[in-house]
Amino acid sequence: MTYLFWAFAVVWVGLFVYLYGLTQRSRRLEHELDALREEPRAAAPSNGAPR
Amino acid sequence: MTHQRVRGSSDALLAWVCFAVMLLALYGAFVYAAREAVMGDIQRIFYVHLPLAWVGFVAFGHAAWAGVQYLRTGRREWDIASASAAEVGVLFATLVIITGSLWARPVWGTWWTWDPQLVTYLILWLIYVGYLVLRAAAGDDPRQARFAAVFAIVGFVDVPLVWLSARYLRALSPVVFTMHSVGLAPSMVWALLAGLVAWSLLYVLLVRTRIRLGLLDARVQALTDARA
Repeated sequence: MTYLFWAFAVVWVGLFVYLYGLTQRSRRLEHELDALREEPRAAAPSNGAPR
Repeated sequence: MTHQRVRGSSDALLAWVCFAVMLLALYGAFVYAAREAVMGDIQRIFYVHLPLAWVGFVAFGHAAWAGVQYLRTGRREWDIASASAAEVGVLFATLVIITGSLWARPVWGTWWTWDPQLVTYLILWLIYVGYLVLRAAAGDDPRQARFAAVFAIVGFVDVPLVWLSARYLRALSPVVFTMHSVGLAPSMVWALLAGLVAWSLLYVLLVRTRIRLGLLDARVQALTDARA
């Protein structure tokens, strides 16, 4: 029974670790993409006249 | 936007169906399937081990096929699909080796033996781990990506060798399916089928998620390159 428990435990833990890794990578890439989209707006000069 | 919403809802539906079938598969493995007379409960590992092995083969086939498409068209999407399928395939193959080992210890009295099927399977695992290392190093260099695609295609040649070694090379691993019979009780067959469907659905879900991640990565890379 111990081996049976460990076999199923390893499968589910392995799967969840992989899914966690995918989620983390996805979050990091979305942050990077947002930062890249924001960059031109931040770099663009303001069109208002100097006060 | 609408397309993204449709894709998101189809993924959510797929995830729920996968969850339901996975519960059914677990019920089949632990409750519904008859207790094996010789091995006892340890044989129940088989209901996760065999579907993982089968879907792992499908994943490597998918990686090879996407590799062929990449060589034919040169489109980055196929390269991403090939790498995604290989990554999920390696995950499944790793779990196959671990669950096989956990089954072998009480049944054969050893964690590992240099049996032809085990050796060919280990070679298959090493080939695709090598492929992933190669693919990670290639980045978006098309020349290296083409080399990686060839690697994925050639690596798939080992899959029939694993299959045939169990049948023709006096391997220790039990052969359940032959051309003429299925060496299982009906309840065991149903539990196995539920496992096959559940893990196949999970594969589709994982590979779709991984491909989307790869496409996102390519987009970030393209934007970064454009800014540089």
